[in-house]
Amino acid sequence: MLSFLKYSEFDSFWQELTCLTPYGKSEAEGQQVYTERTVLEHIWDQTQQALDYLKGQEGNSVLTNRLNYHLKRISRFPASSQPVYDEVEIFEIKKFLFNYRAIGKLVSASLVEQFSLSFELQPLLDLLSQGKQGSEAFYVVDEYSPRLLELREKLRQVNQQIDRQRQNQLELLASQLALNFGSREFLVIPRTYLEQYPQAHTQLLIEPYDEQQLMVRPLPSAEILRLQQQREELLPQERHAEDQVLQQISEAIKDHFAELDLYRQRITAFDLALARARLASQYQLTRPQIADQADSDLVITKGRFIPCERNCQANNLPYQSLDLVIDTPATVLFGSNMGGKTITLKTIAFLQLCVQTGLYAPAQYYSTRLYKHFHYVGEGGWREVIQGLSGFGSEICEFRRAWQDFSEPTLTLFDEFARTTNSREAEALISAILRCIAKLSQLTVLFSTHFRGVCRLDEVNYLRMKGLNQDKLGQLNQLWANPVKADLHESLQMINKYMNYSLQKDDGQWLDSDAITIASLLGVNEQICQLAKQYLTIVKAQTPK
Amino acid sequence: MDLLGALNRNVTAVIGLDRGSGKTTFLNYALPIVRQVGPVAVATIGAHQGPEGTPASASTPTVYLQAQDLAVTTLPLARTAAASLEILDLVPGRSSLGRLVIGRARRPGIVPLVGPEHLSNLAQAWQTIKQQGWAASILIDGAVNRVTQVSSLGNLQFVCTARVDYGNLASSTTLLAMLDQLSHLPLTSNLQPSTEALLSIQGPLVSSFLPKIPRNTEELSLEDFTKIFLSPSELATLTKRCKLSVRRQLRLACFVVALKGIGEKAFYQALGPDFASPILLNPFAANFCLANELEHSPEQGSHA
Repeated sequence: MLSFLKYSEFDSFWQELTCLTPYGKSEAEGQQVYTERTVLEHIWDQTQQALDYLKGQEGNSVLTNRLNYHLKRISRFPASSQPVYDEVEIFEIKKFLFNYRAIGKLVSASLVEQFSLSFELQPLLDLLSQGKQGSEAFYVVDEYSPRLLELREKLRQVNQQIDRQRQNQLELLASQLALNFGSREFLVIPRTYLEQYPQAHTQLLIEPYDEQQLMVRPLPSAEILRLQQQREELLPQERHAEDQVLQQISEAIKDHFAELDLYRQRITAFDLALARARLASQYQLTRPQIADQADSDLVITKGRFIPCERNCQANNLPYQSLDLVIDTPATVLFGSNMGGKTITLKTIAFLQLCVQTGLYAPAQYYSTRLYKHFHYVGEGGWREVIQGLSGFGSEICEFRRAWQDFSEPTLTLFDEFARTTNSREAEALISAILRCIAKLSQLTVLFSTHFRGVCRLDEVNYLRMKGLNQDKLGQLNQLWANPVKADLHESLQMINKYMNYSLQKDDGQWLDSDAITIASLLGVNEQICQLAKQYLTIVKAQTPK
Repeated sequence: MDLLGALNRNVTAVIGLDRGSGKTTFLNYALPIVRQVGPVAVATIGAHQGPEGTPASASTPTVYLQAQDLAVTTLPLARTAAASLEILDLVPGRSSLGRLVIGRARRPGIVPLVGPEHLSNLAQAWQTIKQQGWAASILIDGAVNRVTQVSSLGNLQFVCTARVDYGNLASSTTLLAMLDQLSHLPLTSNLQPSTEALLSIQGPLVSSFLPKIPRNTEELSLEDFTKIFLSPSELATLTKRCKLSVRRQLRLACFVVALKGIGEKAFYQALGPDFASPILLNPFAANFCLANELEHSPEQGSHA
């Protein structure tokens, strides 16, 4: 699956799925591949509902911003019920509930119904919001417990007494010792000070600072020490009373944890649906169709491989979408160099991954079936995983892995399989594979290849890319006297302009790969290209029809 | 006191020139002054490590907050804080001492500070505090001798504390003078040079790069001054050769210097005549006059 994902270049597109809640983000990071039709239909129903909602909100940026604000502020809370929740966990639950409720109030009644966003946990939110505290903050307020109220009142009084004592002490130090501490915890004074105020040591803590100066702090009075001691005794009692409140609140949360968990699932689904809808809207994606029969056709009308389309736009090149019907388990795809075989395979991989990750598809119409396994066999597959294997060896390993899954619905793409070995043996291998899989209706297997000698079976669909329009290009070549001077971008534009990326049935006749023309267009020495054409003519003449 | 007016309604990182330079002491000193314009939020970077073998919590800086002030700390420390914190938000990331919270003091009291290990998380925390309007001013207890952190924390100003004695007079004043010079580097005037005279550097400026600077360079532009990793002598040589400028200025609010065993005169002499930044000198010096020492310095000196 990993090499299939990499081949499809799907990840960069998936990164654009921007969820706003932490739950949606985690779900997106998981990139789940669905194989159940009912699950996908439900996801797409929700995507459509979100799309309808977003369409209805076009121009109402205030409401959209508020909705996004509350989605972003949805907080995580513990995944499972806890015996006792601490302040942070209760804070998370309160913040979650507050924003969940706000979202339900913002969106339409129909959307609330479709996503089951109604809010039934007001009593729990009220419990978490008692007294004077921020609507999204949490504090164990006095109102939760008479004991807590009593202890905090005592603490308040003790603190006030300590403050008063300190204030009196500072005033005395200022009047009797000429020391103005203000809000400073210590002062630095000259050592000569003690000569003038010998009684200072009865009211100050004195430490040496340097050779000339001393550091002094107010010496706490017996009364201050007594009050501080009293406060030290009250603080643990307050903590204990708070713990009892947390225990009570935890009981209430535990009673409603199942509902909380449901809310979490619903907001995740809502967030994902909105993200999918935004992506669908941005890239003009359409709802895919899943065929009823397991052996039904795969139909693509104007399918787009978004990474390539984007690349073309960036380079000011026209992009040609894909029209294709696959009605056999095995398909062989021939075609020119740079004629679009790989992009065709990648488009299929991309579309299918869109479908099975719950996205709409970048196609005017895309009807498909669901696969349990995905394989890519070709360059860059396994080689990165297992060092020491040759290109051919890694392809064979990947094929072996694919073969193990062939008893179940599997989509497998062979891109130039066995291109690094002897062409006759490669043709023999591909032919053998074709013969073995041709009637396995649970499979969809596509080969792109230059090997024209693969076996011809009735059950296999043989297609070819239309390739370069040689006539038009020939006329142009006369005008374009020296291709060597053209830069790469210009050459690519030329190839792109005269290449027909659409598919047609392959009748088994000789097919030029346009390789020599492409080489010429890309600036290979003209003498070499002419000689190559002469050799090709000889080979063609010797090849039996 | 006026020097600290620059801290009002601003985000300020306090960095120290060396260990024991009095960062946290200064924070506690500045808090009541800055609080005059509204609640203050206080944060720090990471969990402070004490000497080897001591638990991190033993060296955790503490601040005395008033009700409505904010602190970034961990939940376990928030629970035991005398200031009794209301949890307003969580800070991304996790400290070795527990989950990090932004808490609001419900009553006056002490709070130990612990911050996120990653500067980006701390930057996010103060931005949240600012966006939500929870505090008028924000003070960040920065790290020692790491002015580079200031740049990573976002668009804020900084205060640099130093404790200067005879032992470190030369080295400290050299560093202070260098910081003063760097913080006054002008903004690069022309970001799209039409001539080769302006050399714009994206990364840090280190010693090994100096020989690679083309001879015809008249101006060297850096992202900000924290990207300069040169010795004072290398910097002096470079500034004689070409003009240095920055694309982002970091504002230095002031230096806070406590002198130990040396007089103001010796300190200012060592600092040199070109020093241009404001200095809050000896903020803990007593403001009184002894009958026989009328010439004694006032509560705090300032130098501009």
